[in-house]
Amino acid sequence: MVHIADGVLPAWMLVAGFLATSALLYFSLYKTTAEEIPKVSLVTAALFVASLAHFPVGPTSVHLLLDGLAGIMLGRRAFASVFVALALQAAFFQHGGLTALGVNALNMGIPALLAWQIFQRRLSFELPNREFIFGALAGGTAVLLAALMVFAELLAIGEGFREISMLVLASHVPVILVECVVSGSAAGYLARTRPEMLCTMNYAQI
Amino acid sequence: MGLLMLSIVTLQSLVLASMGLAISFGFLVLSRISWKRVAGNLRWPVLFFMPFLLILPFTVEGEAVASLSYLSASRQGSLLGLLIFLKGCAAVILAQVLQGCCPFSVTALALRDLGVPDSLVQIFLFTYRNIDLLGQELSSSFRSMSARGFERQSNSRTARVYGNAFGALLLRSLARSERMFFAMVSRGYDGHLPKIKARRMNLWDWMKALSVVFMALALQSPGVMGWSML
Repeated sequence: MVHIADGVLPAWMLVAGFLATSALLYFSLYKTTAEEIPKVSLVTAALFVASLAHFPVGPTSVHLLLDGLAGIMLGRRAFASVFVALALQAAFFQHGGLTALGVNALNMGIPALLAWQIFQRRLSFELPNREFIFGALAGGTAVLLAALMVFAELLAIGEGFREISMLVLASHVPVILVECVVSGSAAGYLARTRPEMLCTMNYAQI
Repeated sequence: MGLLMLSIVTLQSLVLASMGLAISFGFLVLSRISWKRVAGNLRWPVLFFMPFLLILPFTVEGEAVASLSYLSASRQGSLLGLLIFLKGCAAVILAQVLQGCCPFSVTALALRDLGVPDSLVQIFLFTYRNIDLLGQELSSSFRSMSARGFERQSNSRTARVYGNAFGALLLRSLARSERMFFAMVSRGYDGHLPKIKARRMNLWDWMKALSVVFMALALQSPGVMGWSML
C-alpha cells in the first residue's frame, strides 16, 4: 500500500514529486566514484529481492520495505538506490506507478536518509548491542515515516480519502514492528561479520 | 509514451479516461505482447485500486444512489472510484507496452540519451542484471533453513532469522560487487558507460512520436477548453 499507483494523485503532486526527487537524486549521486556504482547496484538488488520476501502476520503476510536498511548500508546513496528499486518494481511488477514514481521515491527515499542519520547516532553511545538497537530504531522509524507521508498525501487529495489514508496507516503497524527486528538483526549481523559494510559517511564527509 | 501516461492519469472525466484506456489497449494490440502476461501483471494494481472502488462511494459526500444498513453510497464517490480505476489500468497497460517492447538494456541506454546521469543508468543496469541471481541465493538460503527445521511464524525469532538471512545476502552481494568491479577495471572500466553513437530518428520515428504527443494533447484539450464530459 505504500507504493501509490497511477491515476490516484493529482497532477500538481506528480510534478512536485518529480522535481523534488530530481533534486534529491542529484544530492544522492553527487561525486559518485566508479567503485561505488557496483556496490550501490548490488545492495539495491539484494534489498529489492529481500523486500519481495513475505513475512507471516497471523493468517496473512506482509512484505517488508527495507528502506531503513538501505539508509544504514548506503548513507546518502540510499535515495538513488530506493529510486532505482521503485522504478524496477513499477516497470516489472506493477508495484506503484511510473507516473507516481517521483512521489513514491520521496515516500521511501526521505525515510531512508533519516534512517541513515538515526543509525549514525550510534557512534555517540558505547552500548554492547548498539548496532541492533539503532538499526531497529532506524528501520522502524523509516517505515513509520513512509506510512505517514502516504497518509498525508492521500489526505491532501480530499476529505473523501480520509478513511483510505487511515487504512494505509493502520496496515503498516505490523510492518513497523517486524521491520524493527529485521533491520536491527541485519545491522547487528553485519556489525559482527563485516562492520565496514555499514555506512560511516557523515554530512561533514560529503 | 511517458507524456501520454501523464496525460491519462491527470484526466478528470470518465469518458476521456475510457478513451485513454481504449488507446492503451490499442498500443497493447500493436505491441503484440501476450495478453495473458499483461492480465497477470494487472492483479497487483487492481488489488491496490479495490479500496478506492469499494470505500470512496461511502466516504465521498454527494447524491445517494444506494444504501447499505446505515451507510449510503454516493454517485460522486462511485464515479471517482471508477475514474481512478480506469486511469490506473490504462497507465499500467502503457507501462507494460513501454517495458515489453524492447530489452531493458535498450530502455536504459535510451534514458542516457535523454539526459539521465550516466551513474544512475549504470545502477539501473547492474541492479537489473543481478536481481535474478540474488533472488536465487535468497531462495536457496530459505530452503536450507527449512531443511534444518526452520518454520516461518509470526514471532520475533522468525524476524531475527529473516534479518540474519538478509544480512548474509547483503554480505554476499558486497563480495560479488567487489569481484565485479575488479573484473570490470581489468577490462578498462573507468566509471562510465562506453560511448555509443546515438541512433538518429528517421521520418517514420518522428511520425510515431508526434502521433503519441498528439494523442496526449487531444485527451487534455476538452479539459483545457472547459467542455463538460462527465
